[in-house]
Amino acid sequence: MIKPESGPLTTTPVGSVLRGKSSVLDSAGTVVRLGLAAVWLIAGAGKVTDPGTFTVAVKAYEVFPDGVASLVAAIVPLVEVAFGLLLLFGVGSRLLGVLSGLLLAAYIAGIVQAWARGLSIDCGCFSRGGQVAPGQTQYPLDILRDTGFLLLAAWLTIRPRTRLSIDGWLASRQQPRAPAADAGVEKNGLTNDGGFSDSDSGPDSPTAGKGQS
Amino acid sequence: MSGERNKRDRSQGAGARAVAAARGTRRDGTWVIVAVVVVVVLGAAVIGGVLLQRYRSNQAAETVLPALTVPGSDQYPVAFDKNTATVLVGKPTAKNTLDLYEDFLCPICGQFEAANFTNIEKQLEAGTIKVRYHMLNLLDSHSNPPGYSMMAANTAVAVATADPGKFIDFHYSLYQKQPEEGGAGWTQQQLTSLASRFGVSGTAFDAMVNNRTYDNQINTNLAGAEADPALQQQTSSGSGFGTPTVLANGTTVNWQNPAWLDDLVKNTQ
Repeated sequence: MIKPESGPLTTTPVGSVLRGKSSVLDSAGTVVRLGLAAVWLIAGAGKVTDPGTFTVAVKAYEVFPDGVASLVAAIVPLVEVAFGLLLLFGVGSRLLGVLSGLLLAAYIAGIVQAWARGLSIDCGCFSRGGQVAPGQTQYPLDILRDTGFLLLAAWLTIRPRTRLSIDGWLASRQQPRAPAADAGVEKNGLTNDGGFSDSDSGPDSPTAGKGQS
Repeated sequence: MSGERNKRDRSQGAGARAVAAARGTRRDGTWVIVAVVVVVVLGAAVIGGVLLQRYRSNQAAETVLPALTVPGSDQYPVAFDKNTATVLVGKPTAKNTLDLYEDFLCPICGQFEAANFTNIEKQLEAGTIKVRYHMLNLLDSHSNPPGYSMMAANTAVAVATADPGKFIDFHYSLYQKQPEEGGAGWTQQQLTSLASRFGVSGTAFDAMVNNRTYDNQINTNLAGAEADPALQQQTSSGSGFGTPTVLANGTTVNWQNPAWLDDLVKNTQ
């Protein structure tokens, strides 16, 4: 199990801020989680409804051999939808944050290498597997956009505690009920108000009276 | 005093450790459930994706390609040139020659055909133009499995060889019902079935289709077109060859201009 107190993500100043217990940050985290869910649901739905265009695009990046590219084009759309649904319901927020980050990093790497190699990625019937009309390539914008989404994923990885989540519901079902235990826990600093000083993929069981979802 | 404090600390410490141990177990349990759910959902997505792709391919393979006849296509001759595997269509006295470089998978070629075929057919019947069709395999890698472009081009050329009078109908039908770019192209069986509904069949035809008689020449034509400076168009990464490319009397035409054909015919009357 990872202990984030000692990890790189939480020893930075930003990490320390995010570690602070705060219901404001919980609400912000909820917005982050739902935003990332929307990103995946919209992107995935677009790919599911237009599979041909996505297959051509995957081949245009010239990263995979043909057979592998077809397989990738087949599974990515539904995986994106799955990410979106899991995030929407808040199941395994930290894990989804990590997986989202990895997928987004892969997308960014793909765009960067296409840009560096002078490939143009878009629809059209040209000999290099898809080229755009002059002036339509927009690599910097795409990289910027995906980096923005990557920041959402990073937030969720550092601070997966959000409201309205199945994670929170599962955790709240396992609250300790003995008051002595609570007192002992708080005094010894084992309480996990921040929800991230454990390696759960979601917020930890809040102490009684916090009323976390 | 200190003894009491020690005793209090010890009992609180013991209680906290018990809770921590208990909470550790509960935490592990929750984490495992959640991780399993995530893995199951993602696994279902991966399997679902593969099945969905397979389903789409099967749907494509079961499509019946409509055999559409072009009325009036018997009013002008169709000549197959076996040296170049191109098809020259139209009355020999026509003053203008168009060269059309196309790929059967290319959606833009489909758009071109949809926008222009009626007028082209009218001019062919009127005898103002001849058209040389160059069918290419530019987008071979854009079908899944790859190779539809070549298969369609070879079959179309075979039709022109076996029964030239049916070439225009076959060509028109394939552009009226193109397979999805990036998806499964039509199978050879579907193409052969379409040809047979035009009455194009027989051992000679089957041999050309099965032996892929014209594949080499089509490849050569593509390489030639890509290297030909007269056929290049401007793209965002320099100039390149693409489909459709339209030449009128040897010079490229901007077919996006809706009046391109009418202007050409008018100017050479």
